Amino acid sequence: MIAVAYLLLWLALAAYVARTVTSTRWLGRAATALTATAWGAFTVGLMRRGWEAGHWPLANRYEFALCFVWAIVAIYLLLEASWGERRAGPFVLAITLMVATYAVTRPAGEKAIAPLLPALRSVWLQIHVLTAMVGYAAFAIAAGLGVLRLVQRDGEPRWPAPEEIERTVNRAVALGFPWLTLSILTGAIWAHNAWGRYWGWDPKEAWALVTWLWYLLVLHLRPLRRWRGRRLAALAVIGFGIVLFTFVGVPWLVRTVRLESLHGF
Amino acid sequence: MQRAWRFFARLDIAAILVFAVLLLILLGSCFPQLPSSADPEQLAQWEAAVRARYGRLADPLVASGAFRCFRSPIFLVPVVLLALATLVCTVDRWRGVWRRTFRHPVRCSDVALESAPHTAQLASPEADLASIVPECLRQRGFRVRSETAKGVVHLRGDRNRLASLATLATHLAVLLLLMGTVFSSVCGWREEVTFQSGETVSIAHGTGLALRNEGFTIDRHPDGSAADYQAKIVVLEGVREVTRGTVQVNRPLSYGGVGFLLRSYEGRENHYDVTLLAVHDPGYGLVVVAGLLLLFGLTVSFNFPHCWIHARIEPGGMLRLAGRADKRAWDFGREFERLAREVERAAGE
Repeated sequence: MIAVAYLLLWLALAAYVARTVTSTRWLGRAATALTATAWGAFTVGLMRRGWEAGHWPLANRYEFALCFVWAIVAIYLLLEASWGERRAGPFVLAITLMVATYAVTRPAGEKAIAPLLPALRSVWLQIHVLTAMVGYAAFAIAAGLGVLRLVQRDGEPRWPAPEEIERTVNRAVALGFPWLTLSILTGAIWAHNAWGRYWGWDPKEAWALVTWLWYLLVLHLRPLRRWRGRRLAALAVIGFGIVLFTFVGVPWLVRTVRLESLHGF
Repeated sequence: MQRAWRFFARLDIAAILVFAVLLLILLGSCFPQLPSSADPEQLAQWEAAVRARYGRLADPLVASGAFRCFRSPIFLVPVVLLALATLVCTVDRWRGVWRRTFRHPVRCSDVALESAPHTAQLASPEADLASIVPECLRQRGFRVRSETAKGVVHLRGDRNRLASLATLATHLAVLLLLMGTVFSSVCGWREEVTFQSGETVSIAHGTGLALRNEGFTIDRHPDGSAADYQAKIVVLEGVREVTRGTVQVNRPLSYGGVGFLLRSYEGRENHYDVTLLAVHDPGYGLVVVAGLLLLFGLTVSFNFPHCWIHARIEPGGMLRLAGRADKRAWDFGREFERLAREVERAAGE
């Protein structure tokens, strides 16, 4: 089911790109339908996996990546419905597919369903991972829109108005930021119960704080006139780069520099 | 003094400090950090391992504080300056925010009406604008107040009028969070104890507490990995039993402000050695409260911004609308236009 969902996402991306190039209305509707179907397939796939494993499918990097994709698509579909705008689709779906490709190319050992480790059996951990997923997904949408704003030339009628895009970037960042805060807070509560300390400068914790500070910076720079427009868009794109590094890059950093980390994923 | 105050109240200074802290965390995360609560023998082992790994670079890295980045002045000074900027910013904005939140004059000057970022006008001598406008505002969740003077009806609609206070709550939460972490590191302690079933060990730090291990059990999955494990623990104060319970991963036992966590176990020939961690962290509660306050402040600030609309209805049926909103009300302009259209439609019916 996950493979079908992944394929449907590629088809949806193709439809969104074709719609942008040709301005054909039915292609836009088809792209949305394909995206919604892909989301449905992801939902069924994740539910089935959770059922078979006997726990929420949030126990390793593969499962988190799948849930991350699921959340990006869900928020994007809600955004498309409320905004009535499909032209951001190619950019958001390209980012979604980047994460989805990372998930489906995980080695078989990581994809195998495994029993939950005792340390991962905590309601705080579940909330921590779920909230991180929503926050990250909102930042992914902001980054997709940020890329759209960066490629857009002023006065080009093919794309939505620049102010409209910037407003939506702001909304996405403002949506994701409290979720990221909640994620860090619940992670701290879990760490206090599991390890006896709520903060330990573990590389993953340090990078979660870097991500939080980055978006804090974005929200504080917004009122300053010279940080609007393309610069704001660039900040949103860099922010998502930090999100991806926190998710994928930190385990690599831990291995490469031989750091100590208590975080499995 | 005044110059320093104005300096720290600046938004761009706060942004630079946030960026500096961010960069230092980023750098610190690239190096192994000196354990905070290891004994001298463990510290010596740790240092030897780091020296072996970094070779000639070890000395300059030690000298630069790379291995104790988060405790070095290079990191702590910008953090303290950021805390100071947050405090100055909070105090500096307090009066303005308070005024914006609690002093809402219904009447609005001509200048304020004209200079508002969102304005609209409508002439409708026939329509009962004094009841149409409040109705439209109420439907959009605005609290409406009105005054009449010399035949002119003044209206003011406010939505989320207390939301500006959330910014102050957010800044206050950041300060409390920092206070909590300082409290934890200054007044807190951790101690590891390893013992087998039937043994009793004392906890230091003047607590007068001791722990007795009354048994360890472990359940395994078919593949041999641990499914669950737990230790039965009795807490003694002197020789008197004060509490007892089962300690599991994620489920510590607490007594008198000390938490007892199951850290690890090691199978021996005919028994298990159990390692527990005794933790006293008086800053934790403050950190959680500050975290919740921060979350509340951020959620309200970004999702429920204060918006307000002034309306003036003159005797001839001339309506002037002026709308203002907090900068986080991303969609207010569009909403204002919709409201103006709704009033126009209702007046035309």
